[in-house]
Amino acid sequence: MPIWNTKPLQTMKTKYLTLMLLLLLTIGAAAQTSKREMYADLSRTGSTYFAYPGPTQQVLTPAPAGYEPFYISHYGRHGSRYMTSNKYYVQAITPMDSAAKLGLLTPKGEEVLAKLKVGYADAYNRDGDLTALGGRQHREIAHRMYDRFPELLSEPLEVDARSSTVGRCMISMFNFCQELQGLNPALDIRMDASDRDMRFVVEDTHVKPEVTPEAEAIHRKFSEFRDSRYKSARLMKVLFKDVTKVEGFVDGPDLMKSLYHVAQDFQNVPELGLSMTDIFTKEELFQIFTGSNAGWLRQSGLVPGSTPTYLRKMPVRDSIEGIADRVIRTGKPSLTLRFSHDSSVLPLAYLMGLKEAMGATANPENVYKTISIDKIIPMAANIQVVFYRKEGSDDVLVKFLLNENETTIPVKTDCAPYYHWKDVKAYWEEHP
Amino acid sequence: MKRFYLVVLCLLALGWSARAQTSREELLSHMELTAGNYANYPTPTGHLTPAPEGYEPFYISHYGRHGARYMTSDKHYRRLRHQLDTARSLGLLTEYGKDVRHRLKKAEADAKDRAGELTPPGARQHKAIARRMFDNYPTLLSRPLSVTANASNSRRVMLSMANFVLELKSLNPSLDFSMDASEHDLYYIKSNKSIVVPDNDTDDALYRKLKKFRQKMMAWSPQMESMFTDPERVKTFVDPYTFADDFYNVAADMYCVPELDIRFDDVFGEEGMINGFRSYNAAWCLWEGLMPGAKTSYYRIYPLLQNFLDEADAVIASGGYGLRLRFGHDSVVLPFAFILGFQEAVGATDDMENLHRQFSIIRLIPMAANIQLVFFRKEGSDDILVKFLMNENETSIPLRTDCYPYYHWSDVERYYRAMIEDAHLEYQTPADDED
Repeated sequence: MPIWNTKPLQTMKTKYLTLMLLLLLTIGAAAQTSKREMYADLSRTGSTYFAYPGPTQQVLTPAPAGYEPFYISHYGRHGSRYMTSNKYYVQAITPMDSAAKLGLLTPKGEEVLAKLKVGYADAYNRDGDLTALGGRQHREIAHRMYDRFPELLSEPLEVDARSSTVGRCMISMFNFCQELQGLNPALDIRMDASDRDMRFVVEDTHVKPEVTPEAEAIHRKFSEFRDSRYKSARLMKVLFKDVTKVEGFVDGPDLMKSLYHVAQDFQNVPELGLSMTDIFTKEELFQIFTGSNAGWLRQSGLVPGSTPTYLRKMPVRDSIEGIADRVIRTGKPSLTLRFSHDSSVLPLAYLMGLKEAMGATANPENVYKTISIDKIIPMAANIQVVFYRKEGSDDVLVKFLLNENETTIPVKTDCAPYYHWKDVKAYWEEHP
Repeated sequence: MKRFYLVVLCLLALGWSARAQTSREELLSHMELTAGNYANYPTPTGHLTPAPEGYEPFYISHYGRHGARYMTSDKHYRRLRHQLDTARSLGLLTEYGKDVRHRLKKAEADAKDRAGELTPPGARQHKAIARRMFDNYPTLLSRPLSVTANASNSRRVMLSMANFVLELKSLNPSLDFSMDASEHDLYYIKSNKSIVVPDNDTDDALYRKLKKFRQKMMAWSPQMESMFTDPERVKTFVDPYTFADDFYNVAADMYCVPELDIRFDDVFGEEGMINGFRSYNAAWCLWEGLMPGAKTSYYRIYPLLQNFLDEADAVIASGGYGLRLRFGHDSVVLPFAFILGFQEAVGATDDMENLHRQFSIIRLIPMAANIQLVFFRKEGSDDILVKFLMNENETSIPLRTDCYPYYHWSDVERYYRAMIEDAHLEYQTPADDED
């Protein structure tokens, strides 16, 4: 496969003023998820475990007259997966087993332990693997892409697909490509997953943004907030007959955390038919979500003053831009697919300026009111940049889809949700 | 009516056809084959015997090695370049030596960050195998089958699987593939390390013999000597065997990256490349337990055989149609061919000098090597026939049959299940697991 050239890594620029002005413009759209929405669909409280919900937007805005799509650059997270480590099973089963031997489990506790054992048996040796649902999510996304852009995807295109070297991302890519190939046998699909390309697919780990004392303080504050969301006193009474007798070998918040992870991952293995979220109250799930949400935003550098780790993803955005420019130059319609991780989709959404990822505040308590990651990085999360051109014109338009819904960026346009590619490039030159 | 023609060893002699070995003449006219397990997949002969009257294919069970790849580690490049750099700084490189070093640097740069990865020909090999499978069994593969495909968790293997699958998908969009590459399935996709390989008294001596043989095969060629102004001085900081062995690996791997258009065969000359092949031919034969007196390390492939048998029985019992795909490594294909009793894999000798006259890995484990079992049935009959393909060529197993290359599944299954049972496999507890 051709080597992906890209622009040299940009030096970090601090253009806070421009940034803040732009952010002000974008706040307020339905970028976040309200508590009421969360309560109505508790699977959203799974944070990054939230199984892909599919697009809410059924009909896309038609392109201005005469414009045809000629290129799509797709960036996707792997689909639903098993937990990346089965440690949460072990950390939950071990103390609960001990309690069972001492006869200290309530009937509810017995029920939870039984579910844990079934879930663990299924997940054994499958740490981090894509689940069947994860495969289906990618096939469905590919199918919708075909249905939405048939004039492009029914052509005998060259498809350049590259994945993170992690197995679940590769299997996601395989499913996506399999679906496209079935819909259009004439597609010439090249797949790869190479260490050589990771800078352009996942991140450049050589980029080490400076960690300021201020950023360290924010880190502590957000981590403490996240960890303090596990308030386990009520749950302990649900699971154990006599909480004082198990305190010696059960750490409440730790157990609650393990159970939260297991319970939320069950939505990614629906064939199992297991559900355990009922052991939590809605408020507990919501609180844990807000902690996870704040932690992710801090970790990705989206919180003002936090370490700008999103800079590691600049080579990815540069590559998306560079390959698009190459396609525009050659004029040959094509499709580029990248498969990666939540830890890249979130900062990339920010780097691109997608409204859902903009405007994080420094207050962990209510940052969820501006950004909710269930909207950005559920399983199989994706960003699609679709390019349009018009015969006889040099003008190239793009539109951005986040999880297959049209979204906006803080750039002026006369044809929203379409943007003039040159304006997008100018914005990216300045942001962040 | 049950058939009981369970004659084993007496048929081996019949099974040794010309295709099991290789000769100096063949290698001289096909130097690319001296790459051994790096050799590109040879196009099959295309000769396929029609099934007996009334029999239709209903199931194919496939195990394939990944296609052409980069070397699994950069160590050969690294060592060679450091040694050539040292020779250069000491002014010991001849013009020829400088030219070789220049080529080596180019090849190393191309391979950077790609250790072990599938190359473009590797992907094409799998697409071609898939396409031939479709062309050979169109009635079966035009059906809307649900196909399970498993790969080892190594990326070149996973990408081989995906290329194979996409090719079939383009030929029949109604095929529905479920692909996976999980630790969960490695117990049969790879050599199962938890199975105990019994010690024996003869293995150590064979390894000593192999070491001597390989040293002899990797003796420096005149061309290698001519890379240096003072070869004897070079040998004070270069281990001659390792140097030659590293170069053989690099030379062999160049066949996997033809786009580079770089060769190192000239470093060895024709005899040298043939000797390099013979070195690895003997090594593979011993490593995988195919040499008389070797430890029975192929016991660790029995779970794969078990998987083939059990899944075939399930499809037969269902009365339905199926395709099953598995993707792995040479270290599985070779011993698997041996336990299946393929004529290409049995009959090795510990006479290493002459081994290639009876046994040759180029028949067995080139890149994209594969084993296919194709099942046939006849309406109104319980009889199931199976045929065995080694790299898509029909082959024989040590059982009598009245319709070669087709065998009666009832005979085949009884034979293999008895073999597994006779092995009395022992599993070590995780604590004893050496890996």
